[in-house]
Amino acid sequence: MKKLSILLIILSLFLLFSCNEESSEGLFQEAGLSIKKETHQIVNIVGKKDSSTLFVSTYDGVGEYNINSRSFNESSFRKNGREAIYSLYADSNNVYYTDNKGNYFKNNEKLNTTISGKRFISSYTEDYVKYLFVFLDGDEYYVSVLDTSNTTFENMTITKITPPNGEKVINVRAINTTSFSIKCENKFYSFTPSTSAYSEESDAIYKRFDNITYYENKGVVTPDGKEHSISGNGRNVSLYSSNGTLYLINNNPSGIVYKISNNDITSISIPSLQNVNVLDILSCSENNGEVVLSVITSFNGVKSINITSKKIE
Amino acid sequence: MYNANMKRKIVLLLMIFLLLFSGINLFASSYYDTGSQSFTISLAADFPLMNAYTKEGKFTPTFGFGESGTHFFPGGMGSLDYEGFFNPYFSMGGSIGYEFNYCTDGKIFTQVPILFKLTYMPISGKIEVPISLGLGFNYLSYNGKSQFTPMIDLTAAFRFYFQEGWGIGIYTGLDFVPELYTDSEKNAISLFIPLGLSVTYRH
Repeated sequence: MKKLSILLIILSLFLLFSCNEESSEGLFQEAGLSIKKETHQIVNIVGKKDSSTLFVSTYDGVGEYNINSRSFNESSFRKNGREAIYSLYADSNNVYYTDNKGNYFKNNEKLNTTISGKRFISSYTEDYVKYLFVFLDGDEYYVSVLDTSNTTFENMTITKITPPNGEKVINVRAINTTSFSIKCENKFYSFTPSTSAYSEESDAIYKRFDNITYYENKGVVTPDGKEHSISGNGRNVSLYSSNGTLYLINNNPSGIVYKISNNDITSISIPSLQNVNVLDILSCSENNGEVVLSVITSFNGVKSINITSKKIE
Repeated sequence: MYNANMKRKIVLLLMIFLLLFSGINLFASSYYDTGSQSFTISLAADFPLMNAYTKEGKFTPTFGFGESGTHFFPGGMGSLDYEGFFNPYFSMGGSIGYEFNYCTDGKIFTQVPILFKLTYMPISGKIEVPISLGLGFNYLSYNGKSQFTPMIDLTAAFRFYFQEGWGIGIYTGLDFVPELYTDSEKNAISLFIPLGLSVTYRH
C-alpha cells in the first residue's frame, strides 16, 4: 500500500510538472531546431569586398565572411578588441572604426578629421558603397552621406541637424539611402541632406522604401495610406525590396516574415526562425514559385529562408 | 569449410569460458536473499537515438547525431543506484542521475532523471545480469529553461564480482523521455542509449 502511494505521488508529479506551459517551444523541440553557431558572433556588416565576400564586424574584430561558402576567412581577421563593435565600414584595403568616444581610426592610424570629437551614433548602407552616418556632439546631431566610390571617410562632409523652429532633437537615424528620420520633442521629421529639406511626419520613421513607410510605433503604412500594425517594435528589423515586394523580418518577436505587396501585408510564421537573430536580408530569389531570402544572422552566419516551404537551410 | 571451422572455434571458446567459471554455478540458486542490498555508481557515454517533435506543422522523428539528425551530440552521464531485494530474484530501488548532451548551437542540454526501479536478476553470483525497468521523472534544462517530464528507462548490465561484495560491469539500455504539454505542438519524444561502466557494492 505504501509503495502504491509513492507511485501515485510520482505520477501526480508527472501531471503537475508536465503542464508547465511557460516556454513557447518544448525543450526537445527547441534543441532539435537549434542551428550551428559560427566561431565569431557578427555584430554588423561593415563592407563588401566583392559579390561573395562581406566585411563583418564581430565581437573580436573585423574580418571577411564568404556568403557562398558560409564561412569566415580566419586569416583575414583584424583583432581590434571590443572597439570592432564600432566599425564604420571596410573596403579591400582599409577598415575604418571608432572607439565611440570621438576618436576615429583607419586601420591602426588615428584620423584627424571634421568629425573628430563627435561621437558615432549609427550607420546605414544598402549597397556597401554609399553609407549614411549619424554623429552626436554634445546635444547636437550631425549626419553625413558618404559615397565611397568618389570620396573617402577623411574627406566627407557633415551636415548639422537644425529642425524647423529650433526644436530639440531627441534622435536621428537613416531611413533609406538618401534620408534621415528626425525625432524631436514634439514633432517628427524626415530630412534629406542633398536638398536640405525637412518634411513633417506623423510618427518617427524606422525605414522608408519608395512609398511604403515603416513607422516605429504605427507599423507599416502602404501606398494607399492604410496603417497595418505588425507585432513587435521597429527597432530591430530587416527589410528588403524585390520587384515591388517588400520583405520584413522582425527580431522582436522573431519567427515572422512579413510580405508587403500591392497594399497587402501577409504574415508568414516560420517556427525555426524563432531563435535566429537576423541582421540583414542580403538577397531574394524566386525559383519555380519558391521565394528564398538569403539573410545574415548574428550567430549563424548566412542562412537561406524559404518562405514558401517555411524551411531554413 | 571456413564457416564450420569458425563455429567449432566459437563453441570451444564458449566451453573454455564456462570451464573457467565452473565454480560460479551460473544457473544455481540466487546469491541474494530478501533484504540484500546493492549500491551502484555508473559512468557512461550517452548516445542520442531519436528526437521526435513538431517541425513545420508535422510530428517528425529525427535520428542520429548532429545537425543532420537529432541536433544532439553524444554526451555523458553518471548515476547512483540503490536496490533492495524483496525476494532472491527481484529488487526495488531508486536511481538519480545526470546526463548532458551538447546541441548543434553549442548549448548544453541536461537531464536529471530520478527513477523508481524494479530489477530482475535471472543470473547472480560471481557474474550477474540485472535487467531493470525504471519509471520516474526527469528534470530537463536547456537554453535557460527547465521542464519536468516523465521518463521510462530500460537497462541491462553484465557484472563481474572480483570480490565477494565488489563488482564491476558494463551496461546499456534505452531512455525513453516523453516531453508532454497541453499544447500538443510542443510535445516531443526522445530516446537515448547509454553505454558505460559501473561499480557495484552488495551485501
